[in-house]
Parts: sequence; C-alpha cells; structure tokens
Amino acid sequence: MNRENKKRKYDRKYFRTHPCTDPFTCKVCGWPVVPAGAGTSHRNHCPNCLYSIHLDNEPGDRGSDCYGRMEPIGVWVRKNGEWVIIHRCIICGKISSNRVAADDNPARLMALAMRPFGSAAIPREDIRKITDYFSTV
Amino acid sequence: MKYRKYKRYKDHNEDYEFEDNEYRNNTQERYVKNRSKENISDSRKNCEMTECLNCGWTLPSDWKGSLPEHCPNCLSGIHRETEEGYECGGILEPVGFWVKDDDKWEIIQRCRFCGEMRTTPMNGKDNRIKVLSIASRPLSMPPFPIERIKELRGIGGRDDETEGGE
Repeated sequence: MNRENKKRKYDRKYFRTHPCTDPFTCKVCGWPVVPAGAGTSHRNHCPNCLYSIHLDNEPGDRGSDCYGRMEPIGVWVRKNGEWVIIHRCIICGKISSNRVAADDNPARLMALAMRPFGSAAIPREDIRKITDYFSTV
Repeated sequence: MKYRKYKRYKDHNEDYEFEDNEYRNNTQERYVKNRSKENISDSRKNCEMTECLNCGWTLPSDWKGSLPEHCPNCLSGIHRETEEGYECGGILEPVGFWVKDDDKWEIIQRCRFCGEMRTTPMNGKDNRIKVLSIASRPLSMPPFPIERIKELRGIGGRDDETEGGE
C-alpha cells in the first residue's frame, strides 16, 4: 500500500489507468459522497445536485487549472441504453460527459431530461402546424 | 551639448514608452482574444457548410442570411477542427439540447470520430420534428422504472416529502 501511495503521489498519469475511489464532499451543496453504491468506479459528480468540478482536460490527467463548477446541462443516451450526463464548466465553458451512477437523484435526472419540454422555444402552435401538415398530405 | 543630450535622451524615452504601450496593447489584445469567445467564433467560421455529408441536404438558392453552422435538416455538422487546433473531419451528430434561456436553445453535438462535444445555437430554420425526437430520446429509455419514480425520489438526495415517510 505504501508503494501504491507513492505511485499515486508522484505518477502524474496514475488516474488515467486507476479509478479514484476517494470519498469527497460536494462543493456546491455539501453532500458527503462515498464510492460505495455508485455502480461505477468513475463517479465525478455529486449524486444529489449532479454538479461536478473541472479537474481534468482528458479523463484522468489532473491537468486543468480551472477548478470551476461544472453544471449539468443535459442528458443523452448511448447506444446500449445507458444515460450520460453532460456537464459544462461555468468558468471556461468546457463540455464533458459522465455516466450516471446508480444512486443519482432520479428526480433531478428526470428534470434534466424534461427541461426542453418545459420551455417555449418550440411553441404549441408550431407543433399543431406540423400535425396539420402531416394529416393533410 | 547638454540640451542635445537631454533631447536625445527624451526622444529615446518617448520612443521607448510608445513601443512599450504598443507592445502592452498588443499583448492585452492577444490575451483577451485567447480568453474570450472570439477565438471560438473564429474557429466556427470554418464550420459553415453548404451541403450536408450526413443526409445530403444542399443549400437552396433562395437562402437568406449567413451560412448555417449545422444542417437544418438533420442538425449534424462537420468537425473540421478540434479545440486544440488539430484537424478531425468527423461528423458531429446531435445528442441533446441545452436550454440556456427559455428562448435560446443550444444543440449539443458529439463527434462520431473523436468524441468531442460542442454546442451550436439553434435557430428557427431547424427541423422541429428532429428536435423533438432528440429531446424525447432519454425519456423513451429511462434507466429506472418510471412507474415507481415516487418510491425512488428519496434515494439520491434529500427530499422533504420522503424524509418522514419511512
């Protein structure tokens, strides 16, 4: 273990090949996060508020000096059907994505997925126009 | 002689100051350009397209305004340059939407080739049916059973309703 600790301290590319399973406290909402129960060893966001911190440029290199909060802006679905949260750094605007964990707050995830349907960029009249167009043709 | 010396010195000093100011302005401009989104917009000028490689859409002759950054028919684009400035050439396919404001939406695109994400603003010319289909894709395959979402509500985070209902 001593050797492992040394490697971790001095090897810059340690986290590119090894998952980081340390407990941490969310800097946005103060939620204590433990690695158990995530279903994935690459958890990078708080299960309560889904916020993340900008540490990496590439996955696993701790190479960023930004340390900004990364807010969840959306959700997309991979080919095998699992959800992926898209994060965006509020300071530098970098976009990254991470798998959802098993204990992420389902209500917040559903709120993220439902967000486009709650705004007025596509008005109801337009949808009615589309349905009218397809029912006549 | 003394006067001349003084003058020369002054001229030199002024010149020096001028150069210094110019240099500082230039560096500031460069700094601001690197920091702000002008840089991104410069690289986005490369993204303008007249035909879509994904669906075969071509620019109609009566197109008004600037050239589109993404295909208005299938919302995909061409990934000419990565953020570091390398050439990529993959197809950017739309994966999701970011609701910036209620009126301003951004399309989140992902490169099929290198996997980089980027956003482009949505405009009124885009295909509404495609937009709706992409936005409803996560809802069609949820990772948890939707009919039991009331029981699931308290798992991930704090919830006032489920705290006392154990």
